[in-house]
Amino acid sequence: MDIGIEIKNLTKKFNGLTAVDHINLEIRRGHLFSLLGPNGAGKSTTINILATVLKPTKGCVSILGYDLKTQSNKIRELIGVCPQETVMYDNLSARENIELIAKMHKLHPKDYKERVDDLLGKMNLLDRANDLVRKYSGGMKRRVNVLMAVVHSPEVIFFDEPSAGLDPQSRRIVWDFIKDFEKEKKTIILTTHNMEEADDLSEELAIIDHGKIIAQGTPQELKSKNGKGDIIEFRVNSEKIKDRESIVQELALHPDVIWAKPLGKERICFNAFDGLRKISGFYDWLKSSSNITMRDLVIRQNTLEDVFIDLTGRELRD
Amino acid sequence: MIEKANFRQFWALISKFLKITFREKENWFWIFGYPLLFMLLFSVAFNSGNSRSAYDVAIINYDTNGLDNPNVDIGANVSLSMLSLFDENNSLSDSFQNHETFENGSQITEEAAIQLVNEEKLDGVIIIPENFSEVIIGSTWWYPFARQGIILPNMSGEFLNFILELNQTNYPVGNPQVEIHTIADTVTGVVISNVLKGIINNLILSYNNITTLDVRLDIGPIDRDLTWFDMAAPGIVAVAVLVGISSIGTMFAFERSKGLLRRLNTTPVSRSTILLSGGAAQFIFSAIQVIILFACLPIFQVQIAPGANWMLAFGIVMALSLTCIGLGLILAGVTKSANSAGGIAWIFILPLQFLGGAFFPMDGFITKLVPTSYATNAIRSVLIYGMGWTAVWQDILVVLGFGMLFTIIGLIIFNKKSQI
Repeated sequence: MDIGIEIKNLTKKFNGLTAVDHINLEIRRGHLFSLLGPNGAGKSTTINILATVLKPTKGCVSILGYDLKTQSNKIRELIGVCPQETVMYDNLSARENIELIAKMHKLHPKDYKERVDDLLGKMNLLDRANDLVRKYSGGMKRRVNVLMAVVHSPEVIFFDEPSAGLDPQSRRIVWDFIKDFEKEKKTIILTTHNMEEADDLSEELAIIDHGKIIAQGTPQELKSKNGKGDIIEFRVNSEKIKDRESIVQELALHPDVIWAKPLGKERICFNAFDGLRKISGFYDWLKSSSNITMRDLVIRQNTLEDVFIDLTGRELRD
Repeated sequence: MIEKANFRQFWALISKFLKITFREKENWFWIFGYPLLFMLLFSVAFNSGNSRSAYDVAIINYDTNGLDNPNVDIGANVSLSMLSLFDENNSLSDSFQNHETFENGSQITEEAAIQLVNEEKLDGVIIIPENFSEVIIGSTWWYPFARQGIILPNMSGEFLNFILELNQTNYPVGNPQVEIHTIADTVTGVVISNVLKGIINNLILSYNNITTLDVRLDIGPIDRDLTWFDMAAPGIVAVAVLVGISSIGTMFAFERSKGLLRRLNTTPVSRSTILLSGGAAQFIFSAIQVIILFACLPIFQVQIAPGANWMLAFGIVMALSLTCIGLGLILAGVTKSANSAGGIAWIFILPLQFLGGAFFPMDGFITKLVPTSYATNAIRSVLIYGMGWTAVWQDILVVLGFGMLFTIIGLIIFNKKSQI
């Protein structure tokens, strides 16, 4: 496995308060990794340390083989950072803001002019590229914020809550944009407290709470081990209604099923980890064991929110 | 050698500062309107009709035995040289020649002169102490050679005779002290003491550069009716650039509070480049302000010396601007919000304004620690007295020294911060 970012025992204290508490992570190169957690969990502090903005109190970080403590200048050449707040000069246009970052990365105009146009186009901002950003809506500023992080085509990109406060349309544009970078095999670290965002974008994620990593894996892995599991409902075919109780009992004995119960007059409801993925297995098993056909299936999938509640006893937005 | 790419970073940041400043219309007032308003207010307050151009002053000279044998050459007696310079000063010619004034057939005494000042029949009394010439000569660079009888290569003729008179003498070293009594009118006091200070400075300079005893050749003639406003105008120009301290401090504090510095700090640009580019942008703003102020001087009827070296004067103000930028950079390193930067800036600006002798004559040790005093003296010497580079280079060096010191301190503070 090609490791892009290696974090060992990373700790950050502010006036005695531990914001990041002995974090250990290995993030694969060319993959999208998310840090999911509630506000104040330590996500942004971690990102700020990796982005060379903050100095760690303790621990080691290596980014693409460069040591954060001793080679931060080299690291700055390789990274792009999209901060949580929209950080840009209101009296510059979107194009000027983006080009400023390109110039800070010592790019020659011929190397960034075309790319800037291309990026602005992808974010639907080309028409208003020369307007001062103080005239932009919040969503448009957010998109410029993202472009400023990627204009120099960095190897590692940090997105700190990139879609916070965005309307659904803008959020979708930003997500698609981030996915494009994933295809380019860039290493992407994303922080979010939005479970949908983490689930939709991440190849792998870590759940962070009170500065500590409490779980790590792919979204699927986490959902299959933690939370309430998937809730599956189906209608029993009419000729088998009389056997519904025995079918429920049989289901409850299945090793992947947590509980099962009758629902209404002709439905059965059961709970299983990773139920969605295993649905065809359940279908075949019921067919062969009880000659039951699952009809009118309804599935409520286990979410990362459920995983977080299971792990911490709190909701993500608490 | 600075890499081209590094220069592009530097220029991009300067260009950014210029764009965001000029695109904010409120800033136009500070850049263009503030210097105009500043000059206008001082002009209305202190020019045209509010100032006098001639003063009645008595001079009591106790330095009549400046050397053992003052008859060797009149130039040997420094105070006599000074009195002749007073005579050449047309604006004071009605009065300063009173060093020869007699009252009731006898020479005026110090007590009688002070009594006349108290009765407001005289504007002032200047008392030249007994050792005035000795202190000035004793403080020259060439005196230690002269007292040992060492003849330097460029000493010849009239000067050589003078040098020989100094053999085995033991003159004190220090600043010449001259006592002034004036009426209780600040403006009169400022004009008299400024003219006197200028003449003594010129005199010291002339003796230090001595190759001939004709000190008058080195002194710019003050043949105009100078007012307090004429004396204060160079200081007003100097004080106007002090606002740069606040501008640069608030500029960086604003960027810090918005997270813009932090964002720049995640790119390969160095903190020093960020800071110095802000300084360079402020330098451009100050240059625009100084040009406006210089254009205002003749418009507001400040009496500029004929043939005054404007470029040199511009250089002096810009040297002071560097000092202000240095202080602004220190401010940028220690303040977190634009509001606090704007407030704290006055801790620097007020002492520089009032202890630098820009508006009122200031003396003493504390004045030597204030860069404005050197800049004000130098601009006044160039623009009002018509003096050149040789008269002001030391002042410029001191001002530049302050600028470098403050800039280095600012850079150290900024670079040492764990987070900008």
